Amino acid sequence: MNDTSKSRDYLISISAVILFLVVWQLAATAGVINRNILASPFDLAILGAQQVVDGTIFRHTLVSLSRVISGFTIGAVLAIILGLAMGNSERFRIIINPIVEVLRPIPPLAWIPLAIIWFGIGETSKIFLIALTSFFPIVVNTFKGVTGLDRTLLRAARSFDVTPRKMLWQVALPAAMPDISTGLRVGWSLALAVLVAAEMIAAKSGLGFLITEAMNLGRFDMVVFGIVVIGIVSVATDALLRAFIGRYLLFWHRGLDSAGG
Amino acid sequence: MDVRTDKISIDAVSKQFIAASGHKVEALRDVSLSIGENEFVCVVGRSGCGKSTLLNMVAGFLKPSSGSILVDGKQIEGPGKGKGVVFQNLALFPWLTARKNIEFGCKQKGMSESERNQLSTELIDLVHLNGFEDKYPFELSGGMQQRVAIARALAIDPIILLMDEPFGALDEQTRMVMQTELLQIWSSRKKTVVFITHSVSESIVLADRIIVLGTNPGHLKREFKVTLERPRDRLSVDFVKLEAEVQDALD
Repeated sequence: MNDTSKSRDYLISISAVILFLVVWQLAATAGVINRNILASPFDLAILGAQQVVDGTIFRHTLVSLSRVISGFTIGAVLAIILGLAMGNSERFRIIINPIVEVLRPIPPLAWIPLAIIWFGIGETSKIFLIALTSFFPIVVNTFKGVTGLDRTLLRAARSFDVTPRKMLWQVALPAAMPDISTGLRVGWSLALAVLVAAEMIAAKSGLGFLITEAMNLGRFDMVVFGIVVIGIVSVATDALLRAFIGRYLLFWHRGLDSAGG
Repeated sequence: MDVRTDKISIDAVSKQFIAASGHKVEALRDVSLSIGENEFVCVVGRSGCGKSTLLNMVAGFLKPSSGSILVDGKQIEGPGKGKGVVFQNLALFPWLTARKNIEFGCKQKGMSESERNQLSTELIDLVHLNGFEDKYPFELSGGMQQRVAIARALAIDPIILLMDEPFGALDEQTRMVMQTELLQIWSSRKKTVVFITHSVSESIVLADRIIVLGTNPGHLKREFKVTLERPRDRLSVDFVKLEAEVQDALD
């Protein structure tokens, strides 16, 4: 795609968002939407401005982000290690794969009671839930990447007498990087999605807490505001993650977007 | 060429596969062939004649169903051990720069970084990649990627060089340039080369000897010694005559 059509697409996307907001605002002003149930963009802008000025929203966002980053990092590291091990050893795969496949489709929310019993209602249970959520897409994609190693690439490596260990680190791991990157992005977005649920476990701060508390107080404008902030944080962090992947993991890749998304 | 000893001896080799459908497919039947030290041999044949299978067996990626293949008088036990391979789809490591690709084999051998660097610099000169050594494969043209693949195989100073239709994906112009360069490389560092191609004219430009394989199942059909002086003129009478003969043997 050339630069002109890229910037044109960008312009169209921005216009669509603005149009969406305008229609929403008009519907609210005209009374089509009950403003007590769904706040108008204008109301939200004012609320947002207050929250930004007094710094509340930054505090909640930072708390949430630090939880997601901790959980995601733990989940991702374990998932990549396990995925590599499964891809590397047939026996290990036969033992581990069924367990992963059974646990994988369980909705993260179903783990909340166990998380509380195992780790209490403090930070650990929240991080556990987030780690668990990001773990599965990453382990599955890592495994897929390692086992999907191109046959001629494998042969090329073998023609240079690569030891099995070096084969894993110097060939299988980099070759799996596009799949691992896809897993990381999916894992990150799911981790953010489960954040609200995780912060419903007796949190005193964070975006999930903000939404839950607003609901208890009947502040539905605040609920909508919290949702919007989570959306913005998702888009912004995904862009950062993509930039990180493009810069450090797939710098050798023809098109970053072929790595998923 | 001077005195020749057998570098590769292929003795009564047959190969059968079990196809996905469960049927037994006979890829090669009773192929015997001796290739001398520093000889440049081209194997030509239609698709399905088992020419890649033959190469993959010499490379050690596949085992013959029967018969034996010896390199330097020793049975092949698997890939590697100095058998350099240039693949049809190149199989460059896309996450490594041209230079790192070339150094890959030496790194596995445990060669020191400064030695590796010196060697890859030499090879980059040899295959005319100067200025592109720090590019990743996706940033290189087909011809340049091909140069990297050849340099990577040469870097381990292979005892034999096996090339599986390496120029198949190149445009005609680039292909002719690469043929000339390959001959220059071959004359500067003598190697025993087995080169698979489906192009008759390519085989005549390159080879000391052309092996024609027939199909159904793959078998050795005919051999041609090419005695024309290099560099060979594609338009010379002898070239065209030989081309017609080899083509005839193929049909």
